[in-house]
Amino acid sequence: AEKWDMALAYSATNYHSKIATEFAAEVTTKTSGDLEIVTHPGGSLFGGSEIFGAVRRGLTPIGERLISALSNDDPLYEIDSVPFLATSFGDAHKLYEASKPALIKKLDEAGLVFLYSAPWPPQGFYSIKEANTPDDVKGLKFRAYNATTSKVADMLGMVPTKIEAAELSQAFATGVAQSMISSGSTGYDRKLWEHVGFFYDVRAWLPRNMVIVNKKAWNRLDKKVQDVIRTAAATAEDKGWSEAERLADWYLEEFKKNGMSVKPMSPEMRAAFEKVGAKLRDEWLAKIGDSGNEILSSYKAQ
Amino acid sequence: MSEAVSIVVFLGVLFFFLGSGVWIGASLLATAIVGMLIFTSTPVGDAMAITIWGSQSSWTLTALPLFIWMGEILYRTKLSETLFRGLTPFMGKLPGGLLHVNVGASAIFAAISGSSAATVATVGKMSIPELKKRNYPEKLIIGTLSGAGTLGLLIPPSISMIIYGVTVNESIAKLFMASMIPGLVLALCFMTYIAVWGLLNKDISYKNPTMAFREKITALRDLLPVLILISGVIGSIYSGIATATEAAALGVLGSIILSLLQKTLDKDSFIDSVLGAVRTSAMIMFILMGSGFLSLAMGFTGIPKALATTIVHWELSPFSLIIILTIFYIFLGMFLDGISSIVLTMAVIEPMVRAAGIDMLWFGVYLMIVVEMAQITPPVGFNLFVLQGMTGKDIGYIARASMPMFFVMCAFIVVLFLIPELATWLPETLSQTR
Amino acid sequence: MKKLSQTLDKTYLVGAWLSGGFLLLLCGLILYSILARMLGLFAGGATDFAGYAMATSTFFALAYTFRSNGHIRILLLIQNTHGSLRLAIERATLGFMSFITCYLTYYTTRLAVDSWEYGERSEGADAILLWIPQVPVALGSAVFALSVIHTFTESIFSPEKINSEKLDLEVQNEI
Ligand code: NA
Ligand code: NA
Repeated sequence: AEKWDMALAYSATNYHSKIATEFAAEVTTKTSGDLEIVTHPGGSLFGGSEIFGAVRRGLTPIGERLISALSNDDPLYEIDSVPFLATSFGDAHKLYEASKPALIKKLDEAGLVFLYSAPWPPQGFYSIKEANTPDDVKGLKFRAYNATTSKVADMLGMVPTKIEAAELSQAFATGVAQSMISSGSTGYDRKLWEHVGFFYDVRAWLPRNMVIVNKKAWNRLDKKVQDVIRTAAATAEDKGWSEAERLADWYLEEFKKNGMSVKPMSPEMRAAFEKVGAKLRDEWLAKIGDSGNEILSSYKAQ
Repeated sequence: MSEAVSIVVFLGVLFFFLGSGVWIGASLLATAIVGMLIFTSTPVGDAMAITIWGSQSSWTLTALPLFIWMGEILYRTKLSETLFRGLTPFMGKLPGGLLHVNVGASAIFAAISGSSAATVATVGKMSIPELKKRNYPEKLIIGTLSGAGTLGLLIPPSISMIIYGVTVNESIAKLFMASMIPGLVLALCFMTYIAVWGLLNKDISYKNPTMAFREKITALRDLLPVLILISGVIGSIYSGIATATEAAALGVLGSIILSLLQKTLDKDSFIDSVLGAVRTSAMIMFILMGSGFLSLAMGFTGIPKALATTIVHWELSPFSLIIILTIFYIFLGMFLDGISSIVLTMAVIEPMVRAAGIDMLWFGVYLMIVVEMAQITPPVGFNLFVLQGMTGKDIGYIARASMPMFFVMCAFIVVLFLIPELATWLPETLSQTR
Repeated sequence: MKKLSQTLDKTYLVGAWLSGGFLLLLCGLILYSILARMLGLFAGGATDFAGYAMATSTFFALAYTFRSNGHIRILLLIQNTHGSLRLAIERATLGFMSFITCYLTYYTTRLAVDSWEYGERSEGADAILLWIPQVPVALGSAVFALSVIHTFTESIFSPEKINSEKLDLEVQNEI
């Protein structure tokens, strides 16, 4: 019997971690313990930014990572985070299907086997004050965590400021940050309603996590065990998508319950955001080259 | 049962290396290597390298060397001497005298620093020589400092508290509020211990020169620069100028400016302060590398999780649960630092604590105290290591000196259990008024 | 032989100076990110670079710290033994420490080499190739290992230099 340690970055209560734990249990039961997968949530094995490298190097056979965190490695990893490319669960799934072959190939080159990918709820705009027109947000300190988000801030006249995830809620509490783009789960997990009054349901993009396996570890497994894993992965992926969709609304309900104002974007704001989105999309296309166009045309064909 | 075997192996290997006098960082690394070789099929050395790289290049840790440097600057500029002269007229008459400065300064410094090693290093750098000069017994100086340094974790901001909050999905703002009163009460408990000791040992005389009224006014003026520096740094955090991690750099900048104004810093003392800081930092970091890798090895073996699961199966009442968990975390704290204890066990502990109907804010405060206790228990206790590096005393001596503070903290947990409002009152009151 | 030893000690000191330089850089980077926020600039990779500066600073100081008795250990056994037994224990611990630091050097080097071969990039806003900040870590480990082996060699060929009988940390560690 073999034991696989599965590195997870998010806390045990997060739905990604819960689904991964169910996935691990399914593999363990269905292989009658021939392969036992043990999950380590909350970065307790390797921290989030180490997980990809650790699985790639075979330090742990399996792990989960936010795909767009790897966008410095290759623009392909960024495809789920191109603003306004896919803004609904349906579109995001189509985009995922369209980009999957390229993703699998890319991971294979890195010595990794792709198992499944599940989305986060759509990205919305958090603000400490009402944001009906672009003028309203001018000068707000916007929490940026990479080049793309800092460009969003710049183009909307906000001040990009670098805040590490660990200090997110403190930053909003003390006014170091005043706005950001993030998914509903971030606001819920950090209880941002204590400091942030407004959430705009922008649905700018739906970032995804993926579960990856070290190729050498994968090839050591029996075909039978591999099949069990594939089946369990498919189940986990379905669960992930439906759970994200259910939670997307649930998070917003929680926001309202806790006194946050939850609204759709005003037309002016939407126009401003989409202008930024179009520019960033062009930039991304220029970066990724022809392969990006191929993916996009296959996405549009669906 | 295999957990029992693994525990014995880890314990045996760790005590063997530590006991034979292998440097502490290397002992921890070696224990982790042996554990990984026996219990996992993971490539050990590569796992070690990536873990060390990840923790040593992590931005959240940057506050530690900076605070250590701040202490080195303040120490060299004789600011500490002024500080002690300033406090003498106010504390000299209390039973226990200036020993209270250790606790007071730690509590104040804890409000700008999120780690207890930084608190001990910075405060100790200033207070140990001054207290020694005034003939206070060394054992008391070291013990109170090591105990009071743990306030760094309890009084906000606190890195461990943020990690707990994110792990169990509780409001960090409320956790910070919840820990404020307990932090102050624990500081008072430490001071009570010092006062009782002072009353019982009246015959020991320390050099507290008596002062004329005018001298007292001058002394008061001497306190001002330090107060300005500390309140400036605290202010920068709460006014949104800097995050809690960045505040360390402001602390360094502030101490440099302060010492330039006082004309106490020259080129040589500046260079000395830098070399002193990198030397102390390198010592602590080498141990952190070892403890980080040991924590990974423990994670792979699943010992902490398995122990926690065993406790879950006992289905205890809240009171017995807290007693067992206290023993459990003190035991884990023998090997692991606080943050590792939290991340390795919370997935199992959290549902159990919730099921027992224990308030998660209260539990956060409780958890900070029990993992703080781990900082002062041998063999792996970071406050002990920092103090060994600073005083050259052996770890056994420092651990014995810290023992009374350990018991004060145990007693405080009982108080916290009997009066949970210490933790829950402030966040409840403040959130109602919102 | 003596000259070699002196050259090596100078190397460790240079390491410490560089380490100090990186501590200043670390402080500067964090002050810069505060300032950038006040001025409305995006500090980009400043926090990531601060992390690398800290790692470099730490590793460059390890050897100097070791040679100046800055790394701590439990002396109970050594202080309670005398003569040749004590020397044997000193040699054994130094030998073991040499092994561990070489192990550390080997694997931190492997980490940098692997990052270089794969072209691994940082996940942060700095987007830097990770081997660049990992090389100083490997280098610092190597000098650390060298300083330990240096002391180990001294313990074999000129045990009087180790002078463990008179080892009094209270004197060596000024407070
Ligand atoms: Na603190
Ligand atoms: Na301990």
